[in-house]
Amino acid sequence: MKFLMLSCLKTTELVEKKNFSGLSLKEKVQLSIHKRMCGACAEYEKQSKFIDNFMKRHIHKIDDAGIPQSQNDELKEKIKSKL
Amino acid sequence: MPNTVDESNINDTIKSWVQTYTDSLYSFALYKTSSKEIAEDLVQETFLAALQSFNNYEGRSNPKTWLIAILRNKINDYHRINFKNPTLMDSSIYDAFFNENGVWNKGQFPSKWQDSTEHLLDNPDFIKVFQDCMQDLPPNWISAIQLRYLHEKKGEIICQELNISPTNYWKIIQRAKLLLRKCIELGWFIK
Repeated sequence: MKFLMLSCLKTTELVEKKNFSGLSLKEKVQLSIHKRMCGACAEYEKQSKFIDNFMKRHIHKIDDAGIPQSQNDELKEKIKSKL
Repeated sequence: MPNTVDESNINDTIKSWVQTYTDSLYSFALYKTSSKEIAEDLVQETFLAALQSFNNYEGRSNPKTWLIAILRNKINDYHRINFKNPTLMDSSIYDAFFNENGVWNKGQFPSKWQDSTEHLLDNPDFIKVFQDCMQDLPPNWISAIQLRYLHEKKGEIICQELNISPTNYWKIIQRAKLLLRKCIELGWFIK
């Protein structure tokens, strides 16, 4: 069994690798065993997915909804002077 | 001299766009780069590019849509160039989170996020916390994260384009996530 044991550090790596390129069978087993024993890493995976969802939702936004708006009048004048 | 008339018309049009759309474009660029200086530069370049390629515009789309498309390319280019900077692989960050056996340090393991549900994704206060946390990351890590989501492409293709091994790429994402996760937890979930 020992060869299937992961550290938490390695587990957080595999969580990201899983999203990125997928895992080997051995890595899948390692990850699921570790998560069953370690609540912190199970929670880490949930939160990692939540951050992914957040990023995906906002990356392609072109409307202003949800993006904090800043006013920059100096920039307007600066650009106009260069046109 | 019809040409000069055209040119001054174009110039006036772009100036009126600067007045109308700068705030939106700047906010968008700030959101995507997490840097005020870079956001300002990219918005300025966007308008200069719009002036030069005005003939391609032809009024086919909403000006803002066209400007955002130009800006988006500029942001993408910025992240590609920025990403190539060295010092991506500093591993000292692990020491803050894990002990020598790779186990979470006391007080570092992820606590439960009580209301990490869908509704948070569009909550302006939460978005502000998230944006502030992004700004705290090293600039080339921000680029790594942004590139990850800017492209619909598979990860391996991004790695080929950036000339980086897949292992290094997702390890950067992992490190950035560790910091980002912690920052969001402190800024929002533990009060």
